[in-house]
Amino acid sequence: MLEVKELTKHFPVKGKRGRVVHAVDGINFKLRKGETLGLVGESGCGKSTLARTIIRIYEPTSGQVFLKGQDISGLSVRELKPIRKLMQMIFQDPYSSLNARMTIRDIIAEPLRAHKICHTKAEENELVFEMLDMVGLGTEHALRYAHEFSGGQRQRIGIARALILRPELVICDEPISALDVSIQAQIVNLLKKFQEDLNLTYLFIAHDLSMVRYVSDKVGVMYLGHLVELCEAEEIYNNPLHPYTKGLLGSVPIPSPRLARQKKKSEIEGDIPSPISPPSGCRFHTRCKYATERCKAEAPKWQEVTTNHFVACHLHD
Amino acid sequence: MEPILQVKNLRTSFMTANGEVQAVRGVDFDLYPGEIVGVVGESGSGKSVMSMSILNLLADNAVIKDGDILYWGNSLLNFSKKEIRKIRGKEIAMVFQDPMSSLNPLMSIGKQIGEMIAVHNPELSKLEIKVQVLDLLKKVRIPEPEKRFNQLPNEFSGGMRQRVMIAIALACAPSVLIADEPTTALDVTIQDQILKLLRSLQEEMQMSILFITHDLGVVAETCTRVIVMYGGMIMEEAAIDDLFEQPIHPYTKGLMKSMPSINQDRKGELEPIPGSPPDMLGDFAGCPFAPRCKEARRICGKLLPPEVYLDPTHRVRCWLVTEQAKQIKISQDEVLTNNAGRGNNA
Ligand SMILES: Nc1ncnc2c1ncn2[C@@H]1O[C@H](COP(=O)(O)OP(=O)(O)OP(=O)(O)O)[C@@H](O)[C@H]1O
Ligand SMILES: Nc1ncnc2c1ncn2[C@@H]1O[C@H](COP(=O)(O)OP(=O)(O)OP(=O)(O)O)[C@@H](O)[C@H]1O
Ligand SMILES: [Mg+2]
Ligand SMILES: [Mg+2]
Repeated sequence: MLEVKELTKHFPVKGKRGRVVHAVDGINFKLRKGETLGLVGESGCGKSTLARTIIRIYEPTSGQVFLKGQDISGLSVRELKPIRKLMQMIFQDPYSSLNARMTIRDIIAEPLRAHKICHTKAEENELVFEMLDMVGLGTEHALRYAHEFSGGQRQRIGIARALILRPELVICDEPISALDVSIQAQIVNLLKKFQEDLNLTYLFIAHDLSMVRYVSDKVGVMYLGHLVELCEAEEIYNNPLHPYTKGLLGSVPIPSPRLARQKKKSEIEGDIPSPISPPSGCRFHTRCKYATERCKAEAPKWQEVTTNHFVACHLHD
Repeated sequence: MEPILQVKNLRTSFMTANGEVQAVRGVDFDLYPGEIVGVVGESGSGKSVMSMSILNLLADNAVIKDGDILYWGNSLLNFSKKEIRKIRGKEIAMVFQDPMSSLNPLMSIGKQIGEMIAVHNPELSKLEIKVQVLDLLKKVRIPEPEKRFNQLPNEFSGGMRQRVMIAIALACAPSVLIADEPTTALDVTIQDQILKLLRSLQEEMQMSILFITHDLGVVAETCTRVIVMYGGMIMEEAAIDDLFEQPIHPYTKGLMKSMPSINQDRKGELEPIPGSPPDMLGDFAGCPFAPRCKEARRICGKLLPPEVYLDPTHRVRCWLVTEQAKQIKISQDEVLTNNAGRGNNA
């Protein structure tokens, strides 16, 4: 369904000519139809930039994106239009991503209008009402405004808007981070149900590893613009290889005091360095307790150490 | 042992154009020396308003309608503004979620921490204050304190800023620290560092901490006792192990079932709590959780359940566990169906 090859996105730094933010640097992965890839990493590691570069909100600096085998990274805006229908995005902030002055009906109908799908108002209404029903909101909500809804309800509206064109690939950029736990579970279950019913492919971005486990078939871990580990979801929890992955897993609080006392946690010290001048060699070496001289000098290669388990770390050369 | 802080039947409301928002609806609890008490609950359950009431940091349209707040047995509500200011920072300090909004962007970090010390210790010289500030920066594990002293807040990362806020809070060695979601805006890796720091400082300084969060995982790793709030009330309170191993209130159980856990396998389905939290305007007919409760009986929507102590440290506000409930002989046919009485879908 989706293949990303050496995808890179740099942003120029204002006022400093020639300097760039290495937001995304040489990312490679493949995603099969109907699968979910969970993408995790600390704030600023480039998750949103990767998502936005894949669906061409941002122009890639270099690298390629293949959708159903077609290289879409070089396409012009016009050539891209029919392909846009296949890819939709759900955003983190259900408050700012919906226009406060539009009714729910108009918000959900917007993609239909942009792609001139419906010929009559009745046709459009039918599709919108069907969508409202599918996300668990009554049709009586159609003429109300976004600010009248709770965070969870707004996220349902965002999902309805993203799915109305029946896309095949849906990029969820932290769709639940702003919500309460009880509501997070509602949204995650809703996304899973849609995946089954509509055979959707998801790229699911989150900043911690606990919810990702419930939705993903594969998990990728990002650090400072690089993908450092990628494998089957269960494998990453049972057999993490990269020291950063281990640290991320160890940082997630365990909701059981007994287990929390027992566990010997690996942890990560210090802060994430600046992506403007990322560390040499392995970008994680400044925070890694296993770092050697080689890690400082030489960037580790992205390699498949066991079947479907990719990692970039000199410990696993 | 005598409690250091007591909150007694606290009721705090906001007077708004739409009516009275009853944010805190009768909250009672004690904080003892040296313990870390967690307060959990969903957004809007009244956690922040409750904690702001303690130090009278409420917005102008807020009124404390009833109840009392005692510090070592003395009512803080009777204190003048000046007396409260003396207590704030020196005896009881606060750390908030968003460090940037509580720091002055134009003043160096060292100066901001120093001001807190100077206000409460006017006799100290500039040099003495600087020595104390450098000491505090070391205490909260900020590397290179000498260099950091003169930097502005925007030169610090989010986690480092939160360390600065903790340094300011600890500047006068308070006996009580109120931490309102101090790690919610941070990455899990940084959250983990800050939680460890708070635990070790608590031990070192023998403070009591009131730790507000919506994350049960954070509570499990940090607290000795937990208060679960919903709709401005305490639904359940228990020692940490009891709450996690024998949660009684359907809301507490619901929170736990809707939480993912890193050490569970994928097949364990998440069970969300249906609906969304209540509107805090006006009165509730019965239990605030009844409209979302899977186990709700007819009485739950009509009458507020009383608080029941299952043992001296475990209390629950739920009809299902009251003696009254047994006397009323709630029959199975009175169990509300899934749809009747439910709140809005979220
Ligand atoms: N439009 C932009 N212009 C310049 N720099 C940008 C832009 N968007 C992102 N960046 C920078 O690129 C880096 C990666 O940002 P990105 O938003 O992709 O991170 P993220 O992993 O999504 O973080 P978060 O978890 O906070 O959402 C950051 O250093 C950010 O400041
Ligand atoms: N200044 C105010 N005016 C009117 N209502 C307010 C005001 N401040 C808070 N409230 C209301 O009081 C109730 C309790 O809010 P509070 O901030 O204590 O919730 P919380 O439990 O801290 O939630 P969160 O997890 O989102 O921080 C909410 O319904 C909120 O809308
Ligand atoms: Mg992002
Ligand atoms: Mg709050």
